[in-house]
Amino acid sequence: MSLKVIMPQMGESVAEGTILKWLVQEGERVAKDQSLVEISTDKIDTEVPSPVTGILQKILHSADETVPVGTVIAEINELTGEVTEEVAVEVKTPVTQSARPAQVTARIVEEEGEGEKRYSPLVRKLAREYGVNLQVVKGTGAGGRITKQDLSGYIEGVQKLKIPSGPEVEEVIPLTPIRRIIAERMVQSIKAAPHVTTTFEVDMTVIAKYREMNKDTMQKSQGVHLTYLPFIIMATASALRENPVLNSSWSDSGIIIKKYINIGIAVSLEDGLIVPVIRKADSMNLIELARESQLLAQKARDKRLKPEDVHDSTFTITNYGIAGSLFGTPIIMPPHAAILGIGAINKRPVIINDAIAIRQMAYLSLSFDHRIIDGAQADRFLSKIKNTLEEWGSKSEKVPVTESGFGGVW
Amino acid sequence: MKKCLLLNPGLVEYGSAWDLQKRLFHERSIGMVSDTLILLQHPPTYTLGRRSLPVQPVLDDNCGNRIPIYRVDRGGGATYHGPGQVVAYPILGLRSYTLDYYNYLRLLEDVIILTLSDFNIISERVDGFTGVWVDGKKIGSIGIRIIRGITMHGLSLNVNNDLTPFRKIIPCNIHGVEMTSMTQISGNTLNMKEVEMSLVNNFSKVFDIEVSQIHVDNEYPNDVK
Repeated sequence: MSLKVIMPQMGESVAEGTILKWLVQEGERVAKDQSLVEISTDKIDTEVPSPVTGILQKILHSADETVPVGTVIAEINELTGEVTEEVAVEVKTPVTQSARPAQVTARIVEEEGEGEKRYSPLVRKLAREYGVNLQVVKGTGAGGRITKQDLSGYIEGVQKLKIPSGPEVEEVIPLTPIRRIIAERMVQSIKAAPHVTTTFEVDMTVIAKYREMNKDTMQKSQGVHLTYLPFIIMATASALRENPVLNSSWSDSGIIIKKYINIGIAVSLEDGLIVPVIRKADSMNLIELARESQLLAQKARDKRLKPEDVHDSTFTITNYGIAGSLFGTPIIMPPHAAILGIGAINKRPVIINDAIAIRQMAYLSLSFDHRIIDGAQADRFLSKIKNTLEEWGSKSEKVPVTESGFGGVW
Repeated sequence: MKKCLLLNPGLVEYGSAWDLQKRLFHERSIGMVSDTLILLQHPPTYTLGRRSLPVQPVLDDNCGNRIPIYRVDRGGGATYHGPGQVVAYPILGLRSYTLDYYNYLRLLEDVIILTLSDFNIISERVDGFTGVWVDGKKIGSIGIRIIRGITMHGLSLNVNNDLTPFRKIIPCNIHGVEMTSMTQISGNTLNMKEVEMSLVNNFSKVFDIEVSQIHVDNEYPNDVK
């Protein structure tokens, strides 16, 4: 029986591992629990033990390759010991027959590869970073492949010679871990979830007035700077409660509806973006939301966020309006079902009762996973947010004062 | 409560400490010893992890560099060890504490953070960069190896050590990183024994483990049984 060996999951937060060295070669026998291969991540070295006793049939990823967790890296033919000679003989003929064409194809691939040599992703990346023409590097790996060691040796050699290079017209900025994670998540999201974006125009005039009236008092009494964001978080939390399908995740066995509403707020950093989470946002009042969102944003900018500050969000809000953008088509953050984008709030002429009025307007855009959510559901959700914001105060009235300062608004 | 032995042999040359680690690692793997924490200091040494960037200036060995360099079997990039730096190598059966290898890194960070706070130094994690940081400078580094659930290598914390040798390398593969030490932050030289005691206390707290020291002479590893 053929068994697949996969790149192990070494931790919840680790997405990939690099193969350092195969300790067993193709065709060799391996005992159960014997180390097969050395693996490395950014901080941890480990080895993968063989799940069974058998013959290492095929190595699918060679040394220096970095592959995602869960990737099949080798195949082992299990020796059960219970297979009788007879059975083995019986299956022998068909096996060799089917094996032959496979060998031929493998050879064809190799021959095609002669002209344009194949390199591991790591080697390609290093070559790019150091501007090395791989044609001139001598390979010592299997079939003359260039290994990382070959390339490092070559680069070190070149650097010792200190050959002056041509004028620099390009610069490679090394990928930071955060950049890598963002890249992976974005690609993963756009590949898996069919994105649709719908946009509503929202009249924020009432909110603007309310904010104008209350911001000084709140600054003084509560020490919080009241922005538009907490209003929108509050309206979103309420709309999520009414439309739980927006607060969900796709899985092949079914749509997972989250019973808790944890809203992630995208905060842009010098290098990249991080999404700290406001837990149980639906149970918080305006002041609490204002305080929490400010605190998290500050922590993010100061790089003081703890792992628990960014876990378990169920929905995202991104406020690109701050930078002046009118509306966007944000990418959903996995494993969420949707993301709300807030556009810039500007005074615009609008028509009310056939008269032109000056109102504070904003576009709110919702990108949603069309596997989970249909257009009508998305629009119902977004129009609920719109109504809450436009009718602010008509239902919520003045913020009632309680012992803790302010009570719930709804 | 789980028990852990403490070895505190003082200043030990990197190579013999590595041998000791490998031996204890092997013995822990076959269940001959219990979990063990090795706490020591090294003479000036550079070590390169398996992930060290291929071209590191430290390899420029014709510039009269007297500091020995070891290529070691741990994760992480290059680092420097020297007198005045506390180094801890926990040889643990990790499964009793966590199944998540990365959570182990976080626990080691907690040990450093708590130790620093015992000396009134506020430190933090930086998302995506394992280790412990004070005001954007790195004070504690981590690099480990885990095989079949047994750990080796571990953490280093800069206490009174000279920081200049770090400038010759790219510590932990982070370009432009600046290292700092407890002395540099607090402005005075600290008692190494006190820092070590605090670290052991916090190790025992974080891993919920009872640490008992066994005394050995400096002439080990022969004396360690």
